[in-house]
Amino acid sequence: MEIRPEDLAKILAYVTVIIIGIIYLFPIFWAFLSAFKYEADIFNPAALIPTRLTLQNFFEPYFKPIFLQWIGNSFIVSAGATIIVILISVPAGHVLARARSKSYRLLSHILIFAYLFPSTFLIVGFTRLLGTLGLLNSYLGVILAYVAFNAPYVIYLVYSYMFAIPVELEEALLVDGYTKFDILKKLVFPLSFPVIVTGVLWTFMQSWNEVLYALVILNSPELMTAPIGMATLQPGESITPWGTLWAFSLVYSIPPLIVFYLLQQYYITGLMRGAIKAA
Amino acid sequence: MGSEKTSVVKGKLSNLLSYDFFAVLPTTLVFVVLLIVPLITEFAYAFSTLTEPFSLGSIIFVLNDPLYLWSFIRTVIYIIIDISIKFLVGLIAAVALRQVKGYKILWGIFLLPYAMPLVPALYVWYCLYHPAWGLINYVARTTGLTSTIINFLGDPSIALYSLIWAHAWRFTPLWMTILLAGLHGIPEEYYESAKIDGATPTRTFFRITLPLIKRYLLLNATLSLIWTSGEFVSIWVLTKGGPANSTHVLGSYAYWYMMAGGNFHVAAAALVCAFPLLLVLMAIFFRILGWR
Repeated sequence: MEIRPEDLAKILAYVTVIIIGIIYLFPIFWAFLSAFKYEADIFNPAALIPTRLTLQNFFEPYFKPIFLQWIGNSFIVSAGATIIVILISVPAGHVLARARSKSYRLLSHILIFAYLFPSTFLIVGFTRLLGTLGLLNSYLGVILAYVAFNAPYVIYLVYSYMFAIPVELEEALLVDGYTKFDILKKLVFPLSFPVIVTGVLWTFMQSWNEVLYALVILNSPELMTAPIGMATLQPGESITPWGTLWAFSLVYSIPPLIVFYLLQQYYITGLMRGAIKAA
Repeated sequence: MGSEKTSVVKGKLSNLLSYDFFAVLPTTLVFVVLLIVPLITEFAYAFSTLTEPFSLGSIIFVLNDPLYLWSFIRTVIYIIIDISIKFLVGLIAAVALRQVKGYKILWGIFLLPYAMPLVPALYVWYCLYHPAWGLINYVARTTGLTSTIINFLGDPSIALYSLIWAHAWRFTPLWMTILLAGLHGIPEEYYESAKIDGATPTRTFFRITLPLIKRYLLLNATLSLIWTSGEFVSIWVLTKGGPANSTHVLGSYAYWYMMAGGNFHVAAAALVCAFPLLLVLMAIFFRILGWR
C-alpha cells in the first residue's frame, strides 16, 4: 500500500501534537499529583503512578489558616487593582480616542511608553516613593503598583476598541441632550464590554501571579500574597514539604484556571485585536 | 475689550474643567505620581551614593563590577534564547495543531502551562530538574541515556539554560496562540490559489504565510524581548542567582543589592545603566510600528 504525502503530513502532525502534549502537559499532571501523594512516594520517582493516594497534605500542620490568609490577600490586591484599573481606564481610553487637542495626544504617547516599560526597571524608585508615602507593607502599596503597570495596557485596549463605535452615535446623543457622563454610562461601558472582560482577565491574572513588587513591598507574613507566602515554605531543599507545597499550589491555581477557561474566548479575541503582553 | 478677554479665559477654564479633563485626570495622576515620580527618584538614587548626594560613584561601581557586566550579558542571552524557543516550538505546535481534528479543544488544553500561575509552573520544573528525585534524571538513568546525574540547577555551566527553558516552557502556549491567531487571519483563498499553481507547502509557507504575518510577529517578538529583559521570578524561584552567581540577570542583581545588600543606590544604578538596552529595543518596536 502506498502512503500519500497528505497522509504522511497528517501522521506527522498527530505525532508532533502528542510529543508536545507530553512535554507541556504531563509535567503539570505529575507535579500536581504530588499533592495527593505520601511523602515517601514524592521523593521516589520510581513511584511514577503511585499505588496509594492521600488527602493528608491538605490537612498537614503546615496547611494552617495562614494559607487561606495568603489566598485572601491575593484576592484583595488582585480584585482591588482590577476594579481601579477598569474604573480609570474606560473613561480615559474613550476620551483619548476621541480627543484632538495636543495635550491629549501627548498623554496617549506617554501611554505607549508606559505600556512598553517593564516594571522591574522601576522597582527602586517605586519602593522609595511608597516609603515616602508610608505605604510600604500595606495592601494599598501593592494595589497601586498593579494599577500603575496594568492600566496602560487596558487603556490601550479600550482606546483601540473605541474606533469600532461610530462617533456619530455619540454626537446624536449629545444633540438629544445627554451629557458625556450619560454616554460613558449608557454607551461606552456596555459597548466596550468585550474589552473590559479582556482587561479584567488580564489585570487579575497579572496581579495574581506578580512576585517582585509584592516581595519588596510586603514583609509581614499576614500580609503576604500567595506566591510570596509559598516561597517561605521552601527554606532548604532537603526539608521542603513538597506535598504541602503542591496541595497549596493546587488551591492557589484553581481560581485563575476557572476564570481563564470561562473567559478564554474574550482573551483570544483580545489577542487578535493586536499585540499583547507576551513576556 | 476687558470683558472679551475674561470670556476667553472663562472659555479656556471651562474647557479645562470639562468632562474630558476629569475623565483623564485619574490616569494622568497615576502616570505622573506612580510612573514619572518613581522614574525621577530612581535616577536620583543612581546618581548618588550612601554618603554623597550627587555622585557618579554608584554608576562607576556597577560598571566596574564583573558580576554586573555578566548579569547584563546573561540578560541578553536570556531574552534571545527565550524568544527563539517560544517562537520555534510555538510555530511547530501551531502548524501541527491546525492539522488535527478538534483542534479548538486541544488549543485550550495546551494553554494550561500559561493559564496556571507562574510560581507553581516554575516549581514544576524545580521538581522535574531535581538531581535526587527529579523525573528527568530518573528517566534518563533508567533508560540508559546517561549514567551520571545531571544537576540542572546546580551546575553553573547549564543552570542559566535550565532557567530559560522553564520560562520559555511556560510562555510557549501563549506564542502558539499568537501564531494561531496570526495564521487564522490569512484568507483561505491565498492557499487555494497557491495549491492550484502547484506550490509546495514549504514554498507556500515562505512566500505567503510568513510575509503576511511578518510585521505582526516582529511586533510581538520585540514586545517579548522588552518585557523579558526585566525577568526576575524564574531566577528567584529556581536558583536565587546561584550556583556561584552564574544565573544573575539585571533584575535579580538589582533585587539582591536592594534587599540583601540594602544599597538602593547600587540597585538603581544597575537598572538605570540598562536603560540603553530598553531604549534600543523600544526604538526597534517603534520602527516596526512605522513611527519616525
